[in-house]
Amino acid sequence: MRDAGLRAWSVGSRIAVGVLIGVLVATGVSEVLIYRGRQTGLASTDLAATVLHRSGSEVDIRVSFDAGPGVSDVRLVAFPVQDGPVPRTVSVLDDPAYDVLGADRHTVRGAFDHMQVELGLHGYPRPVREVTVPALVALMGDLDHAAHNMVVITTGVFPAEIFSRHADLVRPWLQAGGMLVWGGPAIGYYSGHRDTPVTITDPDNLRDNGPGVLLGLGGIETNPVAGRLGSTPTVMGAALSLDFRQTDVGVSTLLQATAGARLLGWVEGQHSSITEIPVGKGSVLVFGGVIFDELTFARDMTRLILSGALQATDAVSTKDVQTGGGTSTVDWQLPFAQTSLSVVALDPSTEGVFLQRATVRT
Amino acid sequence: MRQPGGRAVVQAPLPSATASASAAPSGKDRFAVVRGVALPLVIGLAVRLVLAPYTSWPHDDVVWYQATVAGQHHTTLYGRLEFPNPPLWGYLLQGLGWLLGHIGVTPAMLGVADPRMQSVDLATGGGFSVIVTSPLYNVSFKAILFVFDVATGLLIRHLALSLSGAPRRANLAFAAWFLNPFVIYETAVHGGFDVIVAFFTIASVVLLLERHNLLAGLAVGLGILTKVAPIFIVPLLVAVAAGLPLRGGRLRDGLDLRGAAMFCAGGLLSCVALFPEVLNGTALEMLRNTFTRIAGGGDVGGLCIFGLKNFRGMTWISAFAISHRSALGLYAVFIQFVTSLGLTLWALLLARRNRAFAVLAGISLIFAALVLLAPLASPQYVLWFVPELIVVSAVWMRGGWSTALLCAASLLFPLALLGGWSVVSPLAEYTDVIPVSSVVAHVIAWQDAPGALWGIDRSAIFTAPASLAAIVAFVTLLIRYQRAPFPRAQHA
Repeated sequence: MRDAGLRAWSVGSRIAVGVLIGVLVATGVSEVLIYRGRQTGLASTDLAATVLHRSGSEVDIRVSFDAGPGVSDVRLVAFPVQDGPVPRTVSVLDDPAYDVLGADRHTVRGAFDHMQVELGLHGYPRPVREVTVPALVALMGDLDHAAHNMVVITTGVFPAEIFSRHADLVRPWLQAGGMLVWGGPAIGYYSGHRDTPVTITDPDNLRDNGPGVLLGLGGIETNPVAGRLGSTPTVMGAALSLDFRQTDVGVSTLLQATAGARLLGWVEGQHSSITEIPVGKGSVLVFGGVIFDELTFARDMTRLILSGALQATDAVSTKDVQTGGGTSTVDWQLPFAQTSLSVVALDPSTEGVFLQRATVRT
Repeated sequence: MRQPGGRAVVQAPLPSATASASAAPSGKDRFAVVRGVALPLVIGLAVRLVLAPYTSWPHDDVVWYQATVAGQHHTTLYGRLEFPNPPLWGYLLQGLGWLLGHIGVTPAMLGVADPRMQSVDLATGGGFSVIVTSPLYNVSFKAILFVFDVATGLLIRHLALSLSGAPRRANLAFAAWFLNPFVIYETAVHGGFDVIVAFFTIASVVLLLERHNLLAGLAVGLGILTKVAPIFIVPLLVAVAAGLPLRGGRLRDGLDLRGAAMFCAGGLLSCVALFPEVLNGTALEMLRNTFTRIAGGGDVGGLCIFGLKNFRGMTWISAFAISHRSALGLYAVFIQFVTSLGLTLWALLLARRNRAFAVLAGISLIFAALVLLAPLASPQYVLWFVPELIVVSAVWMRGGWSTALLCAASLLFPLALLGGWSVVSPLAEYTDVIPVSSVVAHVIAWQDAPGALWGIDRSAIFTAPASLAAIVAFVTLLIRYQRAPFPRAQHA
């Protein structure tokens, strides 16, 4: 082994070193090109939209954006909004001491990780943080700041301190303006205790009465229909290219007429995959099934939050455009009489990251 | 010394390297190499190129697709927390994305999101993907893997020739790798990048045995930057670089500290590849993504002892894993660490009799133990040490049947897991040969089919015996290697 002759460059050594050099050069060049190159347009507020002309129920606007590299198809989306969307602090429940139903803990953690990263990439101006149950109890007890907060629960079960047969911090908080995002079995059905597996026989469970008690209305299935997927996108779902299609415990589409609910994802029969239900000054955003794919959930949430869709009040207009690199300028006639519009430019593909928005006062 | 087959075997590691490989290869040598590998090379590449365009393993290939698209978007490898491995393979994919982007290939041409696949994804518990990668993309990224396939095969041939001095055996070793159905499946169908780990591992062995310690360290370092697993063979390689075990000589004379230092320096040199993440502030994201799976989610199985859960009557394994999920991953790493150290010592003891055999057998068994003791082991992990198994089989006639059994089990497992239809979604999506609905229906039917015979479900009829076969192969390898045919006094 120590023979000087063995130190020479054999065929094997030459092959090994040749490939090593090739890999080092390829990775080095890749890193320089990727990490130093111009990114796809990420800053969500970089969109320029100006009013050209206003006449009655129509408005002409000019939209300018630079999608950056890797984006060839851009969708423009516009809809009236109540006010300029107010960014909320996003708090995602992840407490290892409490059981998870349907999904696993990785997925719950992943929902937070991906939401934090996706919103952070676009320069979301408010914190996206993980909270434990004690922190959530404090947060939901603070009704003064409810309107500035969004709570995300994808564990499928409410901590009993938050919502159960003997406690309800949720409804007052919603009434005060809070926004709750829910993924998992039927909302309000299960309540869990610290360091205790969730069981259907737990006396604290409100079970079938849970959704009604929480939301003050019916229309939410409590018996899941496994594998039921939305087959038709809603207008907003198609506009933002949302991918969450599960309607296992989907909210009834009838709530659109009876309770002012907004259908934002996909629909199968009378079941909606993503539904925003107003409760007092706040609202609940219900994902109609267990969150198995945290990435899809996080991306849909990111598009809903950044686009201002959660404040939309009326119809949606879309326009697909091709970009040729550099700044694109599009003149667009919109059929809206409202004075405040959200205008969004996004890459509608599943992997699309480009998303920019502007609020236009007409 | 004589092999069981009665054929003379050159004993010392790389003895013929001194004769034929130390000098630059002559034209005649080159011709012999070409003649020896040409036929299997052509056949192997042809088979790969036929399979590559219209097959994929969606659960993994979508991640490669995401990394490639991220390269086109310049959003960095860990910018969206999609890439769950160390960065090297991801950098190659991002470079591919940049390259394809500059010749006019847009993300839409790399794959499509087909909502029809979501039902399969749900039925398989997230084991599928709605994104179906395009034939163009499949060929592009698998072509990178084919380069490593070929390079690994050539190193196998080189080692086998150097250690046995028998060109025929060396050529057979090359064919045993390059025409191996398991190897072909993993790179041409699955698109798994474990062949890169296999290459860096065998490259580090070649370079170490030929005393290019710095480069050997660099090779194993790049292997670790591809997948973390090669870190478990570092103690063995450092010890060999340091000249251990000493053969009766005094420590001062025998210990090659400079060799060990050079090896370690090479390993550290590979860390230069991490600079972009450090400079970009995404080093923590890289670590988080790479090590998340160690924390354990209670999901166990695969080609390991936990795979026995798929036998009827063994479902208590799953219940045990779920009830101990928070600690299982960490315990498993601890046990893997202790076992790998034990096997390192075993290999070093063996090295007193034959250093090359000890290195190859040690690496094989350390990797095999890692796989078998992992809570969740993918069959493609076996690819990491198939080159070493083949070289040992070709040179010392040890473990050939065990290697074949292991490869067969590793091929059977993924095909049985979701059924054969699961790998042809690109064929359905991009041609009219089979409809997408057939793929969806067949995969879901396979997934929902009840158990039979000894399996708890349809796939378990095959996956459970595959896991058992892997365990049997490991044990028989251990026994066969322990009875290595070397005189104790032999100095390699």
